[in-house]
Amino acid sequence: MKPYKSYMDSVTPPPALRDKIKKGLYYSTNTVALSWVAAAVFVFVIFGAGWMFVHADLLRTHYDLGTPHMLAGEAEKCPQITLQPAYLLEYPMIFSAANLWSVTVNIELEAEPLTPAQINSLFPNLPAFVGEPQRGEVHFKDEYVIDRIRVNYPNFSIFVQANPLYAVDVSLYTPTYIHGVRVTAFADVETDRAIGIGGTSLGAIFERDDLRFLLRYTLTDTDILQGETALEEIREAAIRFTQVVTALIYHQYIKGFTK
Amino acid sequence: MDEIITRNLHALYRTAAAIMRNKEDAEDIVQDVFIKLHEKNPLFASHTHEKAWLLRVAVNLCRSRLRSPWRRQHVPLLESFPAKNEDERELMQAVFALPAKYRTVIHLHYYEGYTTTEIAEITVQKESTIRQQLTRARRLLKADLLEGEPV
Repeated sequence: MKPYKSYMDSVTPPPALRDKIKKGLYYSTNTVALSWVAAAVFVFVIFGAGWMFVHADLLRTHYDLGTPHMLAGEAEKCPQITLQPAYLLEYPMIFSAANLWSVTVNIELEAEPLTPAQINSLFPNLPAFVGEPQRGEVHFKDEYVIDRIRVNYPNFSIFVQANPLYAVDVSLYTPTYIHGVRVTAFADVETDRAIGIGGTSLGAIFERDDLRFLLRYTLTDTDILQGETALEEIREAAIRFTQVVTALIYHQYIKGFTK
Repeated sequence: MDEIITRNLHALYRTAAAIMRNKEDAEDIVQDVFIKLHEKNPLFASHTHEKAWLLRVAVNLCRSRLRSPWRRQHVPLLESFPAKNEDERELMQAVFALPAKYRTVIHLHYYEGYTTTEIAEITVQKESTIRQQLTRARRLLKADLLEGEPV
């Protein structure tokens, strides 16, 4: 077998093979890294999508426990309520949990406004809304009476959102998106202060196209709230506030509502 | 890694070339062997152990590639590396005409100098099988080389 050995001795790898091997090793290493990245992104997307769907359902529950709770016995009169995730599309500037908790609610709105007396009788135990509109057509007086809301759209929309910068607990705000108009309720917990608009308030901003108005809800008579008690108070107030705001609009404009 | 490549590059390349019968596949196999080494990163007791491990991987990769239905046609090794004389050319033609399993044992035994026991370890087969393959390979080679010669 000497000729075999002699021939195989002449079979030598090309000089470029060494570079090819090193390139192979390089790409192999990076492929592994990229695979991990791809796997991580895949898992994130899958779990993220699942999370959003799960919480969309939770939101439905929250909403059902929120406004309809205030409207006991009246919800069936609402001609159309549809809930769907809004996610980030409507509010791209703020990538936050609050956006993910948003839902879209479309409500037919062709009803006579409530009178202050009607509203007062609906929510006898609520603290008063105070403040003045920043801009727009809404006025709140003492005892949370709405003078008027000049919004005559076939589909009225509200967005109730916990501002991520000032969120107390987004899940407690019943964050709701009703197409077209945003209502932003906010409070500051970093300083244990409800700063909505002023030192002791929770706030809500209603927005739609050129219409923008602001609601203020005073928590207590004190200027500064501190500690756990304040936080709890803010939370409770935030829930009630959101419910009231939503319920007021709901009552005010839902077709067929009569008190 | 550089040292391992330097130590084993030629042996791996020749083994792969002997089994695959073309240099393109041989280059790919050698590259894949070192990628496997990089991925597995095994600990070797000696250079002998290291070479045997690499050859085992090379032989396995050759087997897989030979089984693949997607194999491309390549330039035969004898055209890429022409024989120096007629005897050499005839022998190599006879060797390359053998089935892959016989080419493998011929190369590992006659070129790399492994015993049948060592080849059995490298190819993960019984030693008796290797001995049998070697005997049959020799017999086939002899028949091929004697064919056409004047009696």
